[in-house]
Amino acid sequence: MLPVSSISYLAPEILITIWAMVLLLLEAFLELSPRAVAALALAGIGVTFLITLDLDTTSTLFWGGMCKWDGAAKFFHLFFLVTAALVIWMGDEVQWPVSHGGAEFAILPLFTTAGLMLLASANDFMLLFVALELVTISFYILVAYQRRSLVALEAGVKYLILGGLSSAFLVMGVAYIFGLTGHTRFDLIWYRLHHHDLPAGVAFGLLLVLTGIGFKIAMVPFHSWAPDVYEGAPNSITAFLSVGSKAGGLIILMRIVLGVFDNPGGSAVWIPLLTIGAIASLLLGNLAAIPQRNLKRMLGYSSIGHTGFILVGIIGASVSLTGKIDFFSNDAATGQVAVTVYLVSYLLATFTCFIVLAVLERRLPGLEIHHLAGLSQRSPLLAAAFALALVSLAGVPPLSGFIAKLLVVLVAWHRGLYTLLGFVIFAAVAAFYYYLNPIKTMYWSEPLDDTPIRLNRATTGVLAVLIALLIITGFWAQSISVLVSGATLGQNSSPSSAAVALVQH
Amino acid sequence: MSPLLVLLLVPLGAILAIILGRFPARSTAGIAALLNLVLSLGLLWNYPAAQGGYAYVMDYPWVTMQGLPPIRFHLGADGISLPLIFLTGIVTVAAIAISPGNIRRSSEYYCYLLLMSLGAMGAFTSLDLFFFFIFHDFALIATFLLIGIWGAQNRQFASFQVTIYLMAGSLILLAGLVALVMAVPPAARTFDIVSLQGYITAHPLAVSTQNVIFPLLLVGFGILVGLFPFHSWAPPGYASAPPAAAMLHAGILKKFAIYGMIRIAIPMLHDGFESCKYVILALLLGNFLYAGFVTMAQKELPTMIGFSSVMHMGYLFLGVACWNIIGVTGAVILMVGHGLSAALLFGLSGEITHRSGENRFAELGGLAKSAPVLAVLFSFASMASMGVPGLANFAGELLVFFGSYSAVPPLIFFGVVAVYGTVITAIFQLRAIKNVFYGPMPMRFEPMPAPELVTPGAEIVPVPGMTDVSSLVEHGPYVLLILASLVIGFMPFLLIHVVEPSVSLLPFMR
Repeated sequence: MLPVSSISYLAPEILITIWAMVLLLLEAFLELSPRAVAALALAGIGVTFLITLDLDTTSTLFWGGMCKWDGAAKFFHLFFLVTAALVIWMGDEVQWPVSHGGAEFAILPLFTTAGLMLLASANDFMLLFVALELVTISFYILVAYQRRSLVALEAGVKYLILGGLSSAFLVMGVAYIFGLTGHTRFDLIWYRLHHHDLPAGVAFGLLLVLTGIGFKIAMVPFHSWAPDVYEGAPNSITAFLSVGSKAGGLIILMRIVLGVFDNPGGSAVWIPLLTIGAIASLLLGNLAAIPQRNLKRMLGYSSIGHTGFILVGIIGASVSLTGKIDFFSNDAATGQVAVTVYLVSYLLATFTCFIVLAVLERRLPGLEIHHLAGLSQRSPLLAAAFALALVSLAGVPPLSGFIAKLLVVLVAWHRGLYTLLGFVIFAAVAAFYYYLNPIKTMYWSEPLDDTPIRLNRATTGVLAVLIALLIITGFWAQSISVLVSGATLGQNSSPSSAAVALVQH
Repeated sequence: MSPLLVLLLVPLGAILAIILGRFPARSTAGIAALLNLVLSLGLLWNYPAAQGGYAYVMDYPWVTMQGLPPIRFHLGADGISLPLIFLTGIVTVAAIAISPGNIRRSSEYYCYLLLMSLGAMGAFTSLDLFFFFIFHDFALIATFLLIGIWGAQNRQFASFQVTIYLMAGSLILLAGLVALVMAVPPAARTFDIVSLQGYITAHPLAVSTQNVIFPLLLVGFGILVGLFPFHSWAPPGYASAPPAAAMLHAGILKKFAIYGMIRIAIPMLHDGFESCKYVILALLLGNFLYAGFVTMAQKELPTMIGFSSVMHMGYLFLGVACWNIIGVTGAVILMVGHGLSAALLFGLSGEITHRSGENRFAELGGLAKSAPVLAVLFSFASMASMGVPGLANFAGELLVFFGSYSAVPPLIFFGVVAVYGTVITAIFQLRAIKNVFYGPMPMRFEPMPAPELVTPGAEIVPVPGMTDVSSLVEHGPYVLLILASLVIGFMPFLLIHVVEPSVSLLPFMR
């Protein structure tokens, strides 16, 4: 255990940022090859992962109350580090040289990760905004990295405009909240509001903040960028957007709605809004995915649908549902467990999908569903990996996605969210249809070109590990439970006397 | 560690050996299946039948996670599941034995067959709802792939239809099972069947709750088993499935749903069952009469057998709906009998189709001349299916009729319809025998004339000919199934002694 001074909770961000800058300099002055840079970046992530793993999960405010460390922060730090490692590995190993050389392709994700990790422990709207911009700006570059491709440029511009717009909404909302409460720190705003009615201006501010976050997590009606950007971005970056960026949006959503506004006044605003968003995402995401022919677009729509499922878990985590305010009841924490389990299973399945797509991108004429014909004969491993990942996303037992969906269903049931439950079940059934289509093509159609697709050893190994994890975390769900145990938001406690004085001032 | 675990590990080991160790697929699968058959016979023999209840129990905590009722890895078998485990063992052996060795993508093929068998074994041995459900789902996925990859004509459509239909069914079933678990207070929630049953026996659920959950389970199980009107996936699905997959699904896997009714739905939701009883009875009339008449009208052999297996589910539902010792015992014995006869019929129908290249009655005929052994085997299978005394189905059907007579209130009317059902079966089965094996034989099925018999100068027309199942390798699997049916048919007490004590232990049993 490291000596617990408050700075050690910031160690992951500091290490990753310094390492990224060092790599930029090394690359510039020593002319390291991009592959060496990627390997060094992975090593840095590995060290940071071990250090983060060693941190405890007691709920602590640090850095003058700007940051908060708790179980959720630790879980999401580790989650983002794993995501980044997979993204950098994919960029280096699988889709090389689609990414057009350039060591930045391995370094920029480090900055993104630093931003995401800061988001996970942000306890202040200012820090949240800065961290979010760090994430978004590095994504602008990464999305449009293949700058000679028109599709990539279109994706980049779309992401830039909508990302800027969403940031503007967010800042506007923060301004309202700050103006009416006098604070930007989450715990102080919570303390200020939790005994009083919500001023109308704060409610409006919350609406704007939710709009901004809605863009990040691709919640309907703020989803329109997702399919286009997913299609245009390089595969590893699409996976990063789909997993990392979404999880980043979700953790700040949880921190804001569950950590700050989970009181009668606040929940009267955000629960209906998120309920509508969840229902719309479940319906649109899963129904619009059905006619898609391009696999990346299909996964884009399906990722919108998954946002819907996760939002159900977040709504179910609200203590306001039971009328018990101020304390996380055990029931409410279950909603958070559902969210974390869902994210873990989503990470495994999504990365499996995109690794397969990245391998196929160079070997197939395109990434339409019909191009997959007979893949099971050309490469049994790729076909099995893709099929299992899709089946897991669809929530078929005994894969990981089944446990995740089951938990969401149980949470909705348990917390009395019966309308949402109905939509969840409908969406899960609709999802079967489009997830089965590529599987049918891979296994039941005859290949047009039956030359075997060979994989190098590293790719085979990573895919085998991901497949094994998809099965193990589903069949023996205890393993996932170990990962997410304690990964809940720290409870708000009454601020120190100095802070109280600040509030009353 | 329980011997039941070995039943699961043997096919799993064989699958891993085939995939990772590149063992020869057919022989590995065959040896694994034989091992399981011997083991399941031993378990059936060794079971302390007189006292009933669960034997060979193993019980470990599996998942304890916040928000999830505890899941336990709980295996056990009683007089109701052991006959089905034996059935799984014997039908798997037959299904693997009749599969061609040179089938394309053979290692995948045999893995999926083993997976179906593993799924069925797992479902019948699990005493935890989670495992009960997912083992069955495992087997379903293998079924879809078998139909989709190795199916006959129209396989793409058939497999997609079966997939969506059965997935919908298993989702409804899942909803019902989750509803059942969530219906008890939080502290008592568990997926463990035995604990849940214990709690529900002590604190029955409200009738209004039961009236919601029981229909969910009924529809879910009903779709999976092909209860009228949820049966429309079955005939085309079975017709285009490879024979081994049809044998495993119609013979074993479908019984999962009846087993679930006996083990879970009716004991735990008895008031719900009582309120839905006449709905079930009305639907099973549909199985007897509607499916029966439709079967008679079929013009192709595989579709006819598909419909007949739908029709025969009526007997099983009738036996279960009686919910008295004699009726349910009859249903369990009939499950074994029907499993054997359905496996026989699907296997032989595949054999006929494969050897003659034809499955339409109008184009077939007189095959007994060139394939006498096949004709005898098919006649045996048909008689088993008709319920001729001396074969296993008779024992089961008779008990079901008696059960319907002694039910309270008596269900004699339905018993009479069921007896009429055997008449319908006799009509279509005898017609099938007549159309396939007797009557004028189309020229192209004549055996190839030996060269020395052909008069010199005469024009030789090459004909495909029609070969018989000649060697032990070819007819052995069918003989095995017929022997099992004969043994149970002549000595039904062997099974009744095993089944009855366990049935009498079921809650609300009269």
